[in-house]
Amino acid sequence: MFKRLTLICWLLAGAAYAQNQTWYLGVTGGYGFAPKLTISGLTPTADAGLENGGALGAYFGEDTYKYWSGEVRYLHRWDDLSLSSGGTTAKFRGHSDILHADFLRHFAPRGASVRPFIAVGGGMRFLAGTGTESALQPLGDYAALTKTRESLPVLDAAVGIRFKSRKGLEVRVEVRDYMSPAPSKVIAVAPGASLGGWFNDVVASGSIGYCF
Amino acid sequence: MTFARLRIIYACSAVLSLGVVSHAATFGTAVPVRGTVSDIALDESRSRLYIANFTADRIEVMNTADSKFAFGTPLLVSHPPSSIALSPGNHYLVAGEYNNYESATTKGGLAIFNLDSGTRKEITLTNPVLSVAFGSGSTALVVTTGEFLLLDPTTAQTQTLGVVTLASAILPVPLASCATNVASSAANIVEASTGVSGDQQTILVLAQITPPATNTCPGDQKLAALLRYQVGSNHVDAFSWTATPPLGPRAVSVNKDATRFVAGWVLADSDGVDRADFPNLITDTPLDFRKGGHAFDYSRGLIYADLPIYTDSAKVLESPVMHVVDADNLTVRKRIQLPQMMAGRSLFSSDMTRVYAVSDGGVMVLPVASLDKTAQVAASQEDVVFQSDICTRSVISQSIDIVDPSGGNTDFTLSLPTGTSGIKLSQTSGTTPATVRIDVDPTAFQSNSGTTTVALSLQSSHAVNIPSPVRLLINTRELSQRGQILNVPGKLVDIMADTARKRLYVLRQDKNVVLVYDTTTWKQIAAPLMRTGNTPMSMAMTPNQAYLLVGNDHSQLINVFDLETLQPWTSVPFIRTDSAYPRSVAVGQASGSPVVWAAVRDAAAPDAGPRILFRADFPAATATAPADLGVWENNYQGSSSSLDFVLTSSPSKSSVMFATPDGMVALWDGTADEWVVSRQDVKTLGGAYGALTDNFFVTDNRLLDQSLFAEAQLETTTGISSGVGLGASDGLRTTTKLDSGGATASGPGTIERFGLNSDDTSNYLQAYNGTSLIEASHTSATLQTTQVGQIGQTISAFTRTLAAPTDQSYIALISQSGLTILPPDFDAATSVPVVSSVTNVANGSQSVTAAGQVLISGTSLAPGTASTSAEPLPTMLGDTCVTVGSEALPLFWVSPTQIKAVLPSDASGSESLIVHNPGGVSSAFTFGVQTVAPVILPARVIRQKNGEVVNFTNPIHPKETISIYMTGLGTTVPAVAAGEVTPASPASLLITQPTVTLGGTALNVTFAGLSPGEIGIYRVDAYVPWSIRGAAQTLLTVTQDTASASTQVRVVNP
Repeated sequence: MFKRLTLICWLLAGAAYAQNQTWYLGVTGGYGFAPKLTISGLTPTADAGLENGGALGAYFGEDTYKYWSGEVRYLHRWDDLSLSSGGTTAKFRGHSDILHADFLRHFAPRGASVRPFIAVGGGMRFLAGTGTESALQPLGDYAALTKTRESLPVLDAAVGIRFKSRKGLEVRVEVRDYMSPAPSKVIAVAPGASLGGWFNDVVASGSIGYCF
Repeated sequence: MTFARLRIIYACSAVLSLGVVSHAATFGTAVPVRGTVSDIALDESRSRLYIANFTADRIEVMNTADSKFAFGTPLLVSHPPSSIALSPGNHYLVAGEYNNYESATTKGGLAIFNLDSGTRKEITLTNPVLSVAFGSGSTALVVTTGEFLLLDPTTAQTQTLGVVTLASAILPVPLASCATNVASSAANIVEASTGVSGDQQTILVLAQITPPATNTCPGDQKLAALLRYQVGSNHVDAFSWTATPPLGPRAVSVNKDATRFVAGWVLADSDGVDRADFPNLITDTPLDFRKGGHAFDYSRGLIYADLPIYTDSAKVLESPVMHVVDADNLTVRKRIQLPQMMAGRSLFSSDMTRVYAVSDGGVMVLPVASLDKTAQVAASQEDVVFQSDICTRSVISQSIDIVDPSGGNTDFTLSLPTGTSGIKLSQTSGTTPATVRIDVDPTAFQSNSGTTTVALSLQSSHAVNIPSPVRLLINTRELSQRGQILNVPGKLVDIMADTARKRLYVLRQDKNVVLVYDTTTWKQIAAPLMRTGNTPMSMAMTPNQAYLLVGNDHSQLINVFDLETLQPWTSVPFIRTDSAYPRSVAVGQASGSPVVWAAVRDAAAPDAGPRILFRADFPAATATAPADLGVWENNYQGSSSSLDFVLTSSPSKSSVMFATPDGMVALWDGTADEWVVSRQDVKTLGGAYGALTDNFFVTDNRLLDQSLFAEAQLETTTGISSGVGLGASDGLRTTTKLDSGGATASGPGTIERFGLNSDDTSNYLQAYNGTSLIEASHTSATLQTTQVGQIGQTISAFTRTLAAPTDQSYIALISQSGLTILPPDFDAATSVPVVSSVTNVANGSQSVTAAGQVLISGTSLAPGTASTSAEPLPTMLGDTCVTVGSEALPLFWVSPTQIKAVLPSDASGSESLIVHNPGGVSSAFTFGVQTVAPVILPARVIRQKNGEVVNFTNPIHPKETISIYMTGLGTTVPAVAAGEVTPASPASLLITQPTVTLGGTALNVTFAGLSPGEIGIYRVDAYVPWSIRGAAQTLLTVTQDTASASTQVRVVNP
């Protein structure tokens, strides 16, 4: 109890200092969870997608208005490729670089030390397979996990809370869903198979920033 | 305390016949000593080797850093020093004194040198000192002719451990003793030597028992004692040995923990079992104990041994040669030339890098750790086989590599026997590494119609080893000759089929090993090797087929191998046959239990004559000679030259037949568990032996019934019987004719059947369907070859060279080149072959090209199915050959309906193809040969980046090279003969370079030619540019002249 009270007091003390600050930047880190998509057209079906993995990034934004702000974000996501069916799994090293811009709608005015928010935005996801290709890749009759790069549009939506201190420091926690269409090059489905739908890559992250 | 534990007699009349070869280079350094060296001791802390100079009454001191006598004056002693030893820590040097003059009142003494203070004490003893040794303790073991003593060098006090009666010569001795001119060396005077285990816990002393009759002749050297002293417990025990030839050298070499040691020429274990002994030794007595020595390198599992052998019947002593042998069964690995002969004690440096050995001129320093870095030469192969055939008698070429295993550049010369014609070497001398091409003109050997063996000798003036010759095996078969040669180098002396496991066991005597072949592939099963005793002679299998037993002629044990693991059976790795060498073994069955019989060469012949049979109740693991064999004595009254017995069991194991070269045969009946028949109806026997059924046996040409009565005499016109076995319903037999000298085969030999079914009156007990073999099966005479050094050779007058499994899947013979494999229907009638088509192997089309692989289809193309992985490909396979024009085609495989072959490299236009096999000659089949007919081989587009085939999951990427494997691309320079493996260098490149496109984009071709390491396959390498467009499927096309070939590939970019 004593520790929690101390933290709250520290955040409230910082709020007054941040009243005139309009720009901010920060670094973020988290962990992504990506449900698989189904490869159809063959029996039995197979699941393909990205593996869960860590994420690191940075963001830069402007906080000019009372309730609205905007920011540009970059995130590197370690997301190995995965293909599985009937107890057999093929994995392939991979990662993504996501660059996007978001609008943030806050539920507390600028200057408040605690500001819940929601955000939406969009950008590009640069997906890269970096593993070692093999002619004997398991489940190759479903799809090929390929050492190549592929650019995919991405839409995102987020919800989170920003905590500001009087000295311009900002701590943020948020959950963001990156939505992009299924890849066709990095995960290339075999003739007769199809991989449709959108990937939802949900990244929970924490950030620390500085307002100036 | 002494007791007789082991008694050995080695009766050998070995006649050695190795040509004397002069070699310049020797290994190690000889340091001459003015006098006669009796013993050495190594003081590494002072860099000194103490050398007991027996005749100069002093101890020389050699600097081990430069092998010079540079430490001032030698250490003087009062009487001849017979033995010296250093205490632990090198504080004291003790010298045993030998003053065995008749007039001397004190015949022995000890000189004790305190090496730290430079002082000396001397004490006198009643008896001459034979040996002095330190273990890990502070006291020295002193062995005199009358007692064991313990000496405390600090006080010079002795303590008597026990009494003993040992012998040595009385001084003075003649300059050369007795009529045999054995030099009166220190070794022959003292007749004792000491060995200490690596852990310093055990001291072994080998000494003479029987005193000399006079002071001019050695006593009975056959009688020796081996004394074992345990340092910690002060316990002494002894083995009493009788050995012929005598246990010379009088030297003992011990491994680290005294579980193995070499005493004289016997490798024994701590139980006194003769694990192996060196063959081919001089048997003359009295033996010169100055000649020979050995060192036990337990860190490398080796023994370095130099023992006296004659090189020929004129009794010329072999030049000093160190045999590097395996420490388990004395298999010779290398023969290394020495500057002098080892002559007694050898010592290792503490880091096991050097051996200091007494030599017959002083001492030698042998840097054994650097032996592998010393210049040597060797051929890459033991055998080179040249197979000609009826379709072509053109020159056959093979290559061998001459290498220096140390990696150096060492000179060599190659030579053929004088008068050899028809063989040409690309070079007869050179420097390693070198590849030598051997061209053989088969017409020069055609008259033999079988295999001719020619020894290709290898020599070097700078190599320290004596390289083994290469066996050139030249086969010139006729179409009527049947069988397929499987080259197996070495001396093969027994063969046994394992039907259940689809294996063939072959006993290789010169390497002391059982070779195991998979009879479905005819490949040798790689590991583990089944290592036998020394000079194995025969095999037997237990009734449950779980274990293989091997009898040996230079080990007093029967090896037992678990056939599931191919390892020595963990429970009973061997059955000991104390004092007897179990040359021939057979396993019968009585009351449901296996009974092992061993026909032995007896080393402990009682007065009534040598024992002939040992019996072991397997798996009791001990064998003894029964007092009698039923109503007969278990001994032999014939001449010693006839001690060449063999045993064989019937297929059901209910009976065992015994045969001797002087015509005696006997039968053990498992039901009665007795020897029930013995008879001698002829004066000599030899050749094939075997039990076909429980009621039919064969020895030589005699077909015996269950009373061993000769029911029939098989024909002798085809030669000496070699092997015998049971076919599906008849007997099988091989015979070989010998040349006028009686030592080599004069033709290809014969395999024939003989009837065992009385309903078949025309063939009953008569030979029929005699068929010529591809090469002669071995006989006792043809197995006899020049013996080499201490590599064992014992060839029985009886031979077992034929194996036929009970499922009748093949017939295997021991033959000149190793093995000959025959189909069970080797004598089946065959039809005239008919050819119906010739197509491209790659795509089945009729577009074929020169040097391309083709599929010949038809009927009766071959008598059976046969394939090969030989390189280059043979032109005759499965008794079938194919010609286009005058050229024989290299063959991959043959079957009655299809043959895969390679067309000649100069084929063009319209050609005629003819198939030859024992059924006859086909009509000529005419087909067209195109200049080019490119075909991309299925699944043979390879990404060089990962070496894997291009497919959906392994797509082509930009900025990488792909290799496309094809056929039919045309002429290359330099040309590679059809059927030969394409060499890596020089590259065989296409005269006209093809073009390659990928999705319409031209690729840069970086290589286009025959693929190295393959036969008749082309490889085109092309670089994929960065600008290539990605596609899930796009065409990869190779165009040569106006013809092209394409395949679909996936391309990814980036």
